[in-house]
Amino acid sequence: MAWLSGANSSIASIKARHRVSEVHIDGLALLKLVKHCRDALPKMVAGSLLGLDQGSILEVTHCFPFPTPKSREEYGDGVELGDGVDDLDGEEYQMEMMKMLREVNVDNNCVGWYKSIYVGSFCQTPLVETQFSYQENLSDNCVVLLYDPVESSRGVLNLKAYQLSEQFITSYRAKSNSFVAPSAILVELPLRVRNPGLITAFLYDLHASGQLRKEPSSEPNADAAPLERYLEHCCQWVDDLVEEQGKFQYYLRNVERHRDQLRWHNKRKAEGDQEDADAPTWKNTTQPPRLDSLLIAIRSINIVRRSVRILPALSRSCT
Amino acid sequence: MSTEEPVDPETPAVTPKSVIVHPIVVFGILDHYIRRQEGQERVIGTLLGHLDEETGVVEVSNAYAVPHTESGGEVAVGQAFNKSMFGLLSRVNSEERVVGWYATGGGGAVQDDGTALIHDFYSRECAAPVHVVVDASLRDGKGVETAAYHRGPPGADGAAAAFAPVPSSLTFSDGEKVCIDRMIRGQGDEPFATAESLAELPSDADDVRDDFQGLLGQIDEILAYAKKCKSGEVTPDPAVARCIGEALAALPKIEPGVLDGSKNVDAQDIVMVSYLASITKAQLAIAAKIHESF
Repeated sequence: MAWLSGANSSIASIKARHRVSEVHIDGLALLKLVKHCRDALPKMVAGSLLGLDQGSILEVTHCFPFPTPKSREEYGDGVELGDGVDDLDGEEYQMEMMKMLREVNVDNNCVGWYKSIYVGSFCQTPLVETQFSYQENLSDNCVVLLYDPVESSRGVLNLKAYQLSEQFITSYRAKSNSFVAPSAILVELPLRVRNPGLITAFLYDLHASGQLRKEPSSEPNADAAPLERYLEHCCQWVDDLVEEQGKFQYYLRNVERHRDQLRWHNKRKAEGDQEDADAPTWKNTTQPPRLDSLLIAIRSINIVRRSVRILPALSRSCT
Repeated sequence: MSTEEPVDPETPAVTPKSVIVHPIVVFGILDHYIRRQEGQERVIGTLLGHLDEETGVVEVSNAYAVPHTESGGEVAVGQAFNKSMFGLLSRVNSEERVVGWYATGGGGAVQDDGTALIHDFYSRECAAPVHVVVDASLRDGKGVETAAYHRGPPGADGAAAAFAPVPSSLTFSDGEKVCIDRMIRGQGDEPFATAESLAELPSDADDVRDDFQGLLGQIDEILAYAKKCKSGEVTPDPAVARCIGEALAALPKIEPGVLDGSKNVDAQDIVMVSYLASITKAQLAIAAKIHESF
């Protein structure tokens, strides 16, 4: 992500000394984000967040969308904002947009990014990579907001703010393959919505005029469908996890075999047999990457959590 | 700024008959007003959306701020800014076109030369621009009011026509409704106690509870109304009665046995999901242990 470090070197040099513990998003930014993600369905899209970190609170005051890369049909799970040819486009776009927004006095400081997700399937390696480069190059306090536009059609606002934990950052930076508890990779930050006084006044008007009264939804209640989808995903990820575990077992077996060989070799040497002087070479030197399986674990736990959480909604549809 | 003929005089301009505005636009306008330059009286910007040529309804679904300066009779609009911003935004959403412009003001369109000049500028950007004025002054105990205007074609003598009001209203997309609902309800038991209106994002369980409360409240309301009608306090309104009738008819008639059966199935589903959930959790816990140990 050369552009991040290049364009914002001044920001990068002012590394935040302490981390934020809460995210406040302006109503306008929230509406823009939701609009962008919903308008773009079924494509999954991403955008940039502007704002400022103040003390323990990260204020997101504005956001703007990234254009969909033309060269890639599927802008799905494998969204990579950091590299590739088509990113050159996106990078210029962001610089241009920030320059223009500065002219109309919008906060000109990137504090993270947002991305639309589908049924909790967000926890992928590209997401971690992009978020890592944000937190590494821009500021420790960068967040990623994940929004599920599909779920919102059920009248649920599923928006979450995440950061990578310091523990994970340290381990990832060192490129070490050590174990990090799945729950300690991504940290969820509490998210609240705030509005300036004038917009609060507008909200009050809306509230008082009763325009917001919930209308009974005309479409039939299809609440059971998401649960099925969740369970399907869940099964799939458990399968993936088992596969990853299989790799580790294979690796472990190799390690054991090598130790056996080594032992046997040493024994023969001790017995004075000089025929086979070369120690058996260690072939499988690389440990399989842990990140994937750890991410699958997070994904599965999230989906489990969600499917348990929508149970009341399910019973609502049946009663 | 010079006044020129519209770029495309061939297209017959559809007269906008009504304007519907999404709240995101009002949010954007108010935010722009808050961020205005010191000493600046009003802010302007471009409205995006689309014009339904058959009905003449203009739907304004997005807006962006455009820098401008006004002094005396001189107006300078950031034309280059407008052009490149539109270019950038249309790469994300190519459906939205320029439909007009907004300004903040205190009640009614400001009928000065500046407004006319800016309108001339937007007449070149689209065939029949609408002018939306948002009153951000909050003077005289008024709220944030939105009004829309349209200017007819110039008269026979070439003089520009006056701005005529166009009926305008707010409309909510599903997403906006959900968000704004959260902004209000998330503030807790005492909404609007603070100027910042800090709101939590409620969880699903809260939602279900709130929905039920809302539903119960509505039923109570209807019940009270029906009682009043019965006692003769209120003259019954046939339209309301028809709505109630429709609502009652919408309930399927379920035999008690069938209802019990479906409840049982439901309960089984729930037990199954929680069983699956705990199995998965156990799997994950084992996996984590294995990883930890080597």
